[in-house]
Amino acid sequence: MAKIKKEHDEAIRATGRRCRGTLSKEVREKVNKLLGEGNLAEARQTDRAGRSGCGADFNDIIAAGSLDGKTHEYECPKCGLKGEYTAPKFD
Amino acid sequence: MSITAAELIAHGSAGRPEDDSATSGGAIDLTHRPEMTQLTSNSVIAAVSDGADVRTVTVTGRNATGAIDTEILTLTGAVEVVGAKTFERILKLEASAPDASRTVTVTQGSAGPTRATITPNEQDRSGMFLKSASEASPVDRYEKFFWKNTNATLTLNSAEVELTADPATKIKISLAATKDDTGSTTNRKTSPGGVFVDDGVAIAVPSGVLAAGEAIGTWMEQALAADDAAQKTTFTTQLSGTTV
Repeated sequence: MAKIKKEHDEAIRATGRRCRGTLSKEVREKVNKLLGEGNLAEARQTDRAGRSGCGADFNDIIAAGSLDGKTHEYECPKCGLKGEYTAPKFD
Repeated sequence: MSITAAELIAHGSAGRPEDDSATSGGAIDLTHRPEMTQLTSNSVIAAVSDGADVRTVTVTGRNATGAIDTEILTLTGAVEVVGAKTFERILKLEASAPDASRTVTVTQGSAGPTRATITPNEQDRSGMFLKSASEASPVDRYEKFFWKNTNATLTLNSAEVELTADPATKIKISLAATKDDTGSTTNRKTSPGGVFVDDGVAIAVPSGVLAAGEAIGTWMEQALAADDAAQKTTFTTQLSGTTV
């Protein structure tokens, strides 16, 4: 893990971010179908109910990665959720 | 009485660009909501108010050829007015002025499914990233809206914002560093900075609460691949928290 400046770490952690957990393929398809039908509230509720509820501190992932303003893939070390985030860039 | 879901409202920002040169973001615009449901098939558009109302509603969308088209519907109170033009998608619905008491319902076809409602004291509804196209290289664009707690007295505790669905996986979100901010970017291709996350991550509102009347700016990042395929998609976000 690369060591980052304390002020950069503090800036990242000034905003709380937590992993929402994995979502099964079946539930994701249901959410997308609801969204396509215009049932936005039900889509949101289904997504929330379907998440495994990981809760891992996502800022740990950001702080451990490159702070280059670019898009990076991630995998949550706690629940295995995979996705993408755009890293901050500090002058 | 607790805060209800209906009291957590998404409003647009003052800067809602429809090209890559206009300012993006800024202060909250309480007359606008970035909220409507897309057409499921080519259709005419109909509109009806809930009482005496002679305002116009301008429909902006794409016709069956993909070209931008507009149609002005003049409301006839609680009697439905049906447009003549067929749209493939709607981009924007603008009443000629806000009204203190009237609600306008816009439907897909005559008496069809509701696609948007323009509520009292509000003027328009639209999608985001209007007229944004892919390019020879990957391109990112940034637009902003606000989540507002409109309850008169109660604070939303443990407040978080999350992207809850994004079927096309083109969107990431970030929150402004402070509530009720007015931050903007020079144009929508200029990043406001910060961390953008996908639908797997919930972001805490600064200080963790959204007090009565407070709003939190929510930036959206749209990432299009080089020569990306055309998109006609919807995404949705959610403000959640606890309430007494």
